[in-house]
Amino acid sequence: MSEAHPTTHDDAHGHGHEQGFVSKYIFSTDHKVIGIQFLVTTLLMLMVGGALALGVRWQLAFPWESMPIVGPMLFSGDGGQISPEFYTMLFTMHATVMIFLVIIPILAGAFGNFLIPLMIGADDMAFPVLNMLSYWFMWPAITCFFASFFCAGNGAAAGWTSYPVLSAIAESAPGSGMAQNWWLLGVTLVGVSSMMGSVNYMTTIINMRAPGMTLFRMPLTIWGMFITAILQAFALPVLTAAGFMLVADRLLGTCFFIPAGLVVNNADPTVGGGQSLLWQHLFWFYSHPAVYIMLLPAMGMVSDMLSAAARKPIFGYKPMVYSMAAIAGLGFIVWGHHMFTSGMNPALGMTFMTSTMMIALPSAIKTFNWIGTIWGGKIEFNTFTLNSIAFVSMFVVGGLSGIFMAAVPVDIYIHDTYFIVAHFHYVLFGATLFGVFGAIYFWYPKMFGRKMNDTLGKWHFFLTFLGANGTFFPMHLLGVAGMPRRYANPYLHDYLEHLLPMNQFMTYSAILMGSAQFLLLFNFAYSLFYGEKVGRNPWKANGLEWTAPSPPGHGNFDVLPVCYRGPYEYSSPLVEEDYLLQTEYIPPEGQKESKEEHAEPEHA
Amino acid sequence: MSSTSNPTHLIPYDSPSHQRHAAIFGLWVFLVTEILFFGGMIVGYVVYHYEYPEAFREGSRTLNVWAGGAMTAVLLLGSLLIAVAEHLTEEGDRDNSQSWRGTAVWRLAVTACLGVVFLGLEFYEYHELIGEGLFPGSQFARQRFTDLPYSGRAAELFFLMFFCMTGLHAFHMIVGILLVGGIGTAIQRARQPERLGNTLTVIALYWHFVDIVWIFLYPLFYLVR
Repeated sequence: MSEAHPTTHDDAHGHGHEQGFVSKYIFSTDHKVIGIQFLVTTLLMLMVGGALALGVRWQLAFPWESMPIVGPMLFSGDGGQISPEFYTMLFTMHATVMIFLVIIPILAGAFGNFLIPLMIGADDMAFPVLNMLSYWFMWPAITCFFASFFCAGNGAAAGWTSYPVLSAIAESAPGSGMAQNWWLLGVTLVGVSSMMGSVNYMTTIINMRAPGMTLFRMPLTIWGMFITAILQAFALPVLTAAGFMLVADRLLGTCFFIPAGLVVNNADPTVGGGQSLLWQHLFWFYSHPAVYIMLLPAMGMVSDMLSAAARKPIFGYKPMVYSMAAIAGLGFIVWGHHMFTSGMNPALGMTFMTSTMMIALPSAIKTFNWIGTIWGGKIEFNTFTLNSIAFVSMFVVGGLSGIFMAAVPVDIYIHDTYFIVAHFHYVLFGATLFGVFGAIYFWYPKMFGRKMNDTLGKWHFFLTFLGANGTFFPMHLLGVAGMPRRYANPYLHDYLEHLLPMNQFMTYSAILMGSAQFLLLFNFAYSLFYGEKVGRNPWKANGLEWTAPSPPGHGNFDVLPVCYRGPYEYSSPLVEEDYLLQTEYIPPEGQKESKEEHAEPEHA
Repeated sequence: MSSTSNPTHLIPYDSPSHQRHAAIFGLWVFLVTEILFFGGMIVGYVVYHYEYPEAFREGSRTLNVWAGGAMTAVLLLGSLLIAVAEHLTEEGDRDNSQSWRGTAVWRLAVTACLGVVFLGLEFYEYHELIGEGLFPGSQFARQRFTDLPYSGRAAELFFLMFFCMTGLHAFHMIVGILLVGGIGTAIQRARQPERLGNTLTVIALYWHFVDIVWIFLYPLFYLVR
């Protein structure tokens, strides 16, 4: 193998090893470059997914009025009025893009790749080439999803859950014939990409830690990434298998998920003997753990940011780790709570309800620990602090509405209404994305050696926070009022007519929130060239990544980091500064004078 | 990470044994994802077997249990040979002799050939079934199973599962044969073949895994009748 890769340890630190442009920035095996590639790609996809969401909002606020840009372009014949199938495609693709191309890859792909080796003191990932492939498998997936837009005038339209028979029979959603096939292929490719990623993360975290970096000295970010990798590796293959069976149903005429004697859209009755419910079980066996894949890394990163923001050790480090593990473990046995109204043995419903409610326990432990961390701290309200605090508060709202949905009797009333839409947007946007925004501001100096603009960052934060709450909070009320999700025109029903003004208010908020994201993109690009230059440790934080140069060279560290303590020793009485690096050696009592030798060269 | 570098290992690793450890660990993680992948399909099998037990029994009776048995035996023999080859590489690494090379390559070649024999037997089985009109689809010989639920559609589900799962297994076999053939060629040609030990170990693990999948598929399809 070494003949194929002559790069040895000597030139691993970026001295005297020339790389071409392509191998350095495009097909790079360096985890930092791959992480930044993921970050830029997912931020662009965030804008695409957001545009689709605005399409949904437009239709709900101004039903059947000509949609700006899209209406005149695609539906000029109907006076710009979109078709109901197009609306179905909009929310299907919004969810697909946001889940598979934004949230999962931005957490695991972007921050996982960038932070794992830096935070555990490794030179690179365990399998650099595999790492590169995991990024480049995203592009065929993106291509497939976009190909599905251009199929027969309409995209995949069976919802992101793709329940059969809607997704299994081509006639069921007009225009979605090939589109649904492309969609399934895209999901499979995303699965391959994240499987390669998670194998890499687990191996790296287990095998590549620096001397002294014991498991319980790892930052909570790394714990979040590790537990996520386990979830991803062990839940996703089940979805892939189910996806193959669904593709076979669509293309080979099999009937894994198609029951017998069903007449869809005046086609011939189906002849199958399969069970649609089997798909729901297999799908949610993956997709429930997947919601924790979309949350746990953000929980970890927010813990690190809050501790640094409050200049205090994290409150209850080990309970934080154990509760993440508990959330993940319980996450595997609660998938049935998505299916309470699909027809289920009441005893089974009871079991799923209880296990789901148990998740509130570790989640509450984490929330109180975050509050305990900032309690009485000397908080500096910069952008990443504000975003992290938003994470905690929005997570509380999203978590509490989750308990409502977990109760079978309540769920039967609010299932598939806007209440559930409110719930998962509070968790996925409110919690995860605010965590991600915070993380972008926090680790940007490490990625590029410059800080992002704080004023722009705060504007972005406040506008997004207002827009998000203005959009998502009223959804709770809509849900309780009985407005179902996925209806192109809910106002056909008399009892929903009076909800139109509120929907219009939500749409204005969504437009505000969407436009605020341009501030983030602008700030991101502007600061690349004009941001304030910073040294190794701009936030005076403790983790190993802050001992590497900003940005770190190929091979990350100038000297082998040796780890003496956990990453949360802020305001330690042992030192004069209010932070204590993981690598800083403090000799036992009586020899304190020699400390100077170990001081950071950075402080000059 | 001192400057005295050892040219036998790559960037992120401290030593060859470190790299070996990581490679094997990574492959195990991959294998667990594979177990879950086949696990998803096996869940599908179990659900439909529970739903339509007679149809699955009837379907299983049409399969050639001797062909299946022969396929199992062929695979197990291959597994033994690749294990021996891997052991030889480890020993060769220790005493620095080159004499093991020929024997190891020879065993790897036979392993790959046994894989081809397995695929041949599977092809024979497929050919027979398709000849009898048992491939799912509009041509399916439903009249053979008229007294079963949904006039044979349930039996068709059995063949769906059979062709899907054994087909995916066959795909894994093809990948495995290419890998074993490739590593055999590489060992034959390499100047320092003992350096390929890690790669061989990883490939051997994969090969054993594909065997074990068959060890589950064989009873599910051929023996539960």
